[in-house]
Amino acid sequence: MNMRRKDKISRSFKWGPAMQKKNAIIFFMPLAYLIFVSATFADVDHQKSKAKDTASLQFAGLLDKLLDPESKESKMLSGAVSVLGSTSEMDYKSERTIGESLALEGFRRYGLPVKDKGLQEYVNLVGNAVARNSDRPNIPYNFVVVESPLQNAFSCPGGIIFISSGLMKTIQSEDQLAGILAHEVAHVGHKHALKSIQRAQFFNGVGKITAATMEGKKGKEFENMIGGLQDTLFDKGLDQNMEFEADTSAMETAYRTGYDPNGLIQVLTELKRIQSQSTQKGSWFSTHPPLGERIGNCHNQLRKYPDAKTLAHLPDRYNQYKKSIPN
Amino acid sequence: MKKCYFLVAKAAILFFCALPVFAGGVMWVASDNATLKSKPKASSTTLSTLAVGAKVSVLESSNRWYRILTDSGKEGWIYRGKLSDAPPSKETGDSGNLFSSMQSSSISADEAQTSRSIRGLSKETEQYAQKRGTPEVYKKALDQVLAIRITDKEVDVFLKEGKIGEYAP
Repeated sequence: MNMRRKDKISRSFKWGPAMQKKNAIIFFMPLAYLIFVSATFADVDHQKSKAKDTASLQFAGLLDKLLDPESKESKMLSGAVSVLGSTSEMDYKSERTIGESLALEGFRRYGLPVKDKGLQEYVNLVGNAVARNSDRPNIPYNFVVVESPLQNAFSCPGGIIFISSGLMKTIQSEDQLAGILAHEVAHVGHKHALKSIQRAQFFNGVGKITAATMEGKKGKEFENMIGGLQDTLFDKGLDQNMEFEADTSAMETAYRTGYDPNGLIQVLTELKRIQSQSTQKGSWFSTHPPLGERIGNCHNQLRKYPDAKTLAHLPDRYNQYKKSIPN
Repeated sequence: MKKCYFLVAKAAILFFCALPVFAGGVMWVASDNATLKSKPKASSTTLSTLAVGAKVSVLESSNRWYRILTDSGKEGWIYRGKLSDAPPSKETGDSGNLFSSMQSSSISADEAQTSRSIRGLSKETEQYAQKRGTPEVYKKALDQVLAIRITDKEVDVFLKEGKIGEYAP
């Protein structure tokens, strides 16, 4: 019965090449109109009804163009649909294999876990507390503090999240730690790292990652793909918009958990202060967008949380664990 | 034909204007381990645990708590952080293609729990490590990281000790 239902649902949401554009038009048409209407109404004092009619006519013209397969607008839409299609889902086990492989390289690059079970458990508690209120609460998350003087944190696909002892020392309270971990959890939830390597040759013709796909030519391509991920996450950084998206999600997640979302802003502000005297290569400074811009965006987001200051900060509990971080 | 577009456009306006009215009353469970309580207090009796994605109707709010009615007819209080005004995205299972399509099936609650209990390096990661000549110390480090198990109960105790979220006074 369930299988029949699943088949029925699957049939009703077919996303073949022919359907993609049709569905996209159905999705984008109201959105496009909303944008037109918003633009028109935002300036309502200066617009006359004739201008609104013009906007409606322009919208109708846009629809005409979208329905014409040879038009520039139609081709642009096809491109957008192609990106949407290719950034969709991967089975969790394959994602986790990529994440674990990258984590091994993370230890090679940044150092081994700090040998303090209490500290590691504490970071896992804060991390899991925010993760279960994140955009993707149904997967396992593992957090590790590695011994590195660099100011850094990054996430591997599938939910393994690194934070350096250097950044742990910069952080001053639990809500600040929650903000940073929630930012990394958001990258996992939005599958930002995977989206950055989706065009890797390894994925051509691969159904899912199995022992067989790790052999021979495909195995070599897998290694190259992990190399590309390292390049992105350890050196170049993700797309700026992904970072801004992760900041926004992090503040929302921290707030929903009960931490002051301003904690993230406080860490970013402190990082900005110490930026000039810190190592840049391989740190947050080289892999993340300019801090000033991020702080500005986060302040805008903070307006959504009028009671933020009344939420948890917990500097004392954080500092109990911070003491055990080696120099 | 143009007239048809105008009709569609008018329908779109009506749809988007009406949306906030409906969104005000309906929300979705967006957090793992979301419990329905008998009173707007974390210490009150747990009536049930709601699944991520469950649709609920908000009846009233008190401080940081909402009184809700679930689709299955259960009524109680839930902490505001467990709800979202948009349905959460669904986790996907094996779909047969790495970057497959929008028709990927959503995994069930049982499958989600299974994925949450994955522990230790996968066979494929072991293969990768072997080919790369990854030193044993890194493999051991990752094994130790993956071995740390945090349960929902431990998270709840931790939040309670810190007076965080639903445990805030």
